[in-house]
Amino acid sequence: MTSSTEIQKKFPLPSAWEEDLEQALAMVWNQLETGHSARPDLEKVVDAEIRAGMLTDLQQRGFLHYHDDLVIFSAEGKRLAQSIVRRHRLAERLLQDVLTVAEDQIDSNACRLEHVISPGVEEAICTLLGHPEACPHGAVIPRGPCCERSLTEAKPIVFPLTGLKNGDHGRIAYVSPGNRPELHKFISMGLVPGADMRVTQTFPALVIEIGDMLLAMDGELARHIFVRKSAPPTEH
Amino acid sequence: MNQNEKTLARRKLVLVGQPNVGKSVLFNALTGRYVAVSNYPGTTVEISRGMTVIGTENFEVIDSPGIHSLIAQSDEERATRSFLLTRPDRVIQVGSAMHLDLALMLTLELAELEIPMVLCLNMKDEAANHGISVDTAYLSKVLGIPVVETTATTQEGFQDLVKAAAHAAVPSVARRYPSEVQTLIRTFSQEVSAAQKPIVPLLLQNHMQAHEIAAAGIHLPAELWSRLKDAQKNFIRPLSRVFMEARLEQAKEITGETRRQIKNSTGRGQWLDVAGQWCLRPWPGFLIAAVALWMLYEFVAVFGAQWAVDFMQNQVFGRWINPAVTRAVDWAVPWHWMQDLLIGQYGVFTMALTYAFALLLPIVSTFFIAMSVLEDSGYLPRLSVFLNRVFRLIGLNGKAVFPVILGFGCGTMAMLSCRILDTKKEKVLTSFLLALAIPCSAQLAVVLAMTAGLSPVVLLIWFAVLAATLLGTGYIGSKVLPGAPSPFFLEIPPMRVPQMKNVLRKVGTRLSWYLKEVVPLFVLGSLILFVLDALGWLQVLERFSSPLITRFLGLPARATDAFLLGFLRRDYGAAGLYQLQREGLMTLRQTTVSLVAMTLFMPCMAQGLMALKERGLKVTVAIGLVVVGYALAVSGLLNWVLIHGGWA
Repeated sequence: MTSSTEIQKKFPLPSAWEEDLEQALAMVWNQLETGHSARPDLEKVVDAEIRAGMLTDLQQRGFLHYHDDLVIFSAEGKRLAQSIVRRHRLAERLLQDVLTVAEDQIDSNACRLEHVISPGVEEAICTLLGHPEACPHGAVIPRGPCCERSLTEAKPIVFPLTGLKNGDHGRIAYVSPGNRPELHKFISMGLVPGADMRVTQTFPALVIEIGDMLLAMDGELARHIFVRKSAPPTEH
Repeated sequence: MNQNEKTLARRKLVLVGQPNVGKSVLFNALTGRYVAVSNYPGTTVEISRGMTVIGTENFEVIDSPGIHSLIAQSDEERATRSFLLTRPDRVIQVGSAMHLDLALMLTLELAELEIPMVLCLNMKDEAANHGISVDTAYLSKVLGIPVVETTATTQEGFQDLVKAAAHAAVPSVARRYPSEVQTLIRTFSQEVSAAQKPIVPLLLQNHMQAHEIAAAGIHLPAELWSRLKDAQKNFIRPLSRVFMEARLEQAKEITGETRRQIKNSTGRGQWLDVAGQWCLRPWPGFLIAAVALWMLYEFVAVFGAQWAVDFMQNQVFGRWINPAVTRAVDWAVPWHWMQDLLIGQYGVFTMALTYAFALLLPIVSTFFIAMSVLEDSGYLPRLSVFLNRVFRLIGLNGKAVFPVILGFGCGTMAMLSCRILDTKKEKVLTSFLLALAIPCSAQLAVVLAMTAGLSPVVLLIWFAVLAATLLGTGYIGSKVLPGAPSPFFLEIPPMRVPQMKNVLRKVGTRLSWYLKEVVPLFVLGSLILFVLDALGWLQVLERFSSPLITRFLGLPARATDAFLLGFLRRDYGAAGLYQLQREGLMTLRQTTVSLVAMTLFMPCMAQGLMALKERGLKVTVAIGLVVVGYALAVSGLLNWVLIHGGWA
């Protein structure tokens, strides 16, 4: 058995400085994304949230460039920021869609999770969620290498019900977002994670067979039901 | 003794269950009354009451709209829940043997209310066809309540159900929620009165407004509400979901122990499954829809509106009844004014009864027959899948097919069935379209009758104006009314061969209801016209409204009578226009304009009253104003266009 100190040595948790750095970079990313790039504004936000002089620190370490009074990322800064923002937003999706964590708990948890998600896990989460394009608040999730690959190579493991073709079998992985008003009806009709279903037609509306029941729905709902494709059950 | 009988009679037994499992069939069988039975979810939108005897006791039986769980979304689901909160004495839960797990999920939820209940697993025949059997004896032991299998359509197992209802018991099956939830339930149960204990789980799931609970006569201190909120916050996931998932898991477990799939489907009824699938697909679904529409037209418009009306008017009334009545009146009634009242131009007999029986009855009957067959077959839910995309254009979804199709039968019934729609926006919009652009069967009848001998262009213009109205006003309405469209989600029942018995019974009920409503109003209408005519006011009215009727709409002055009648019932007004045309008083242009005007114009009084009840005064008045304004403007415009198009 490995002791906890050994684990810490082998897989160190991010230091406080690293967390601050990631936090600050994410903040800058958010500001730039919403069109705020004036240096005084950014300074106000970042320095207030992290510590005084943080923005200048980022600039001196080469993560940012000042261009007159505007702030832009350096290549290295952009790479790091993109990565942390991606992890944060993926974590939000995971918490909301799969773990159905209450809304007011999502942000605080995502903020902690983002720092400990390794690249491998990040990719796994992204694949599980079907390479989502936006976080629950609608902000764009930066694409990762796995997203690019998914477009050309293998299909994601879990994808929206709309991705299934006529006659395909599937098992429901999760329903997103977890607080849809239809959700209670879904559950009381057995449309829950783990349920096996078959698509019997996709046009003019999607019709699925679940147990002996036929359910019709339009793409609007089907987009929120995520499934894992499965082989048809063997005849008995 | 007398007092005792009264209290006994007031004991209540309520039928509860998922939509489309056969509650209404059982209600009819139990009470000998009749409520409409169809093969689509959401047929029952109101609570119906009847009486029955179980054992030696009298029970008031209540048929409730279908629910999936006590977490209600739509109005009709809420009605059922509110009723259950008043604590009826017995519950018969009706479930489908086909979907035992879902039925049991509801059983477990109902069990918490601690009301003596019986589980009735209906559709035994269909389950058997699918090779499914249920060990009811064991299931009964697990749940601690009697379990009976029935086939409602053949009344199989019905006697067993009545017997079992006498032994209804409070379910003894234990809850299987996570321990933190159990603790929470226990804690709150200690703080409320014993009578309120059964609703603690419901309160924790947080899906009821305080006023709904107060309406059921349950009063909780405000402090308890805030503590409930706090308790919910301690859970990282919504509590309603935790509850439901636990119940589903337990239901699946019990299902696994009691349900057997003996063999694969027997093959009986399989062609129906295939037919059902065909109806859902674009091909041959479109063909089926077209054939169905054509058959409907042949049956209602050709057989009903032409052949049957002709027979009733010329043969039954023209040859047999009218001469006999005329002779009888001439012989028995000495006063001239009274003769006029009975058989004159606006006579009760010549106008009201002839319109009602000779003109409308044949068409309405054929329409109701066709509708009943459609409703029983399970085709309507498939049609709603089919038309979902079209309805999307006008801000509604496929579910609105039900009220709209019903609206072609009777706008009043349709107004009521708007309850199955999910959002207020959809209800208001559908009510509006029903009032404006959906002709009821009686109107449709007159339209078909009036266009029968004419150039098909007339019917085409009428149809084009209506279709444009439906799409145009629907589209604008969907943009103007606040709210987002709700997504389409519908359970599709299996196709069934319509049962002659049910079809006839439903048609009979609807016809007697129709006549009860129509005949008094028609008589009233003819009396009003008679009095107005006798006093000479009718001519004044005609002159007064002539700028509108004769100039703007270009109709003959006597059309005023028809529009007056139209305020009472629009089919009566339509019949009046029909009469004008038959007397050769209308040109092709006038016929076309009047067809459009009477279809678009005000809905009848009954529909208006129903709108008032369902939508409230403000919405109803708004709908009324828009409808009248639109109908006048479009009819006037059409008149203008036709005149300039060279129509006489």
